[in-house]
Amino acid sequence: MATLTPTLTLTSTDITSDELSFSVTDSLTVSKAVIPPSRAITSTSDLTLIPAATYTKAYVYLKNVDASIVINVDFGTQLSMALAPGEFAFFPWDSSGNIVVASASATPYIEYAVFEA
Amino acid sequence: MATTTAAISVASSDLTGNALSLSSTNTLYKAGTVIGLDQTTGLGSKYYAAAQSNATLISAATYEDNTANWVYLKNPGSSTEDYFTIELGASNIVIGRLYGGDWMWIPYEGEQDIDISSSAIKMTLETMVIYQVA
Repeated sequence: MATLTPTLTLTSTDITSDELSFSVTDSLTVSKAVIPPSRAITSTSDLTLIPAATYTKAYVYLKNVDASIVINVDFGTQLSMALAPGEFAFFPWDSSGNIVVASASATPYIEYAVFEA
Repeated sequence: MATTTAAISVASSDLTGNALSLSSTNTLYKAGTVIGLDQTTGLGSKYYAAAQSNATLISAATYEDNTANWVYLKNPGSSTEDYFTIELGASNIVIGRLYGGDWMWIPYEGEQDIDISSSAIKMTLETMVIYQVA
């Protein structure tokens, strides 16, 4: 059993008249499978990046490392997120549907990590 | 134009034989541009006296389709048993559960509602949306 510590920080000096300076962290228990930070090449065809059948509850990190191309992320068949270049997401995943990715064009890379609780 | 920066780090000293230290930073832009997002709901807190089932938390009607928006959600409770289930769209596709102290940070296109269900009464959920107006 291991401890995973994610921290998110949001900052802006001008999105509101009061400065935004926000940070949150958590202490997560990881006791099963781990996919360390990895890269996969995507295309405009669906790629099952993280198959639901392989995992139970897990924490997922995704990042579009391309400089110009959007990568779409589906939960099962539901288009759910669009990661623009450089953008990332971190969320708990209950593994009820595959995490499927497809690029808007060409073959950009997506970075991902999975930590099964 | 506002400039808002999101940064994440994920660390563990005991997950594998080598310490894990992952970090990433990005500026939040309007879709397809390098113009910063300039709208936010602010950090809010919603108390649910009763248990919820597929209740709309973030209505897609509030946001324009195919835009670049970001959603932060946190269960500020301390229970390791009670949780919010975060769901997407009319068919309530489950993304995951937020137990006490858990949070998530996801991009949001503004096309589907984000709904929640809660496992118990008297639960609180923190929310913030940073979004664009075309």
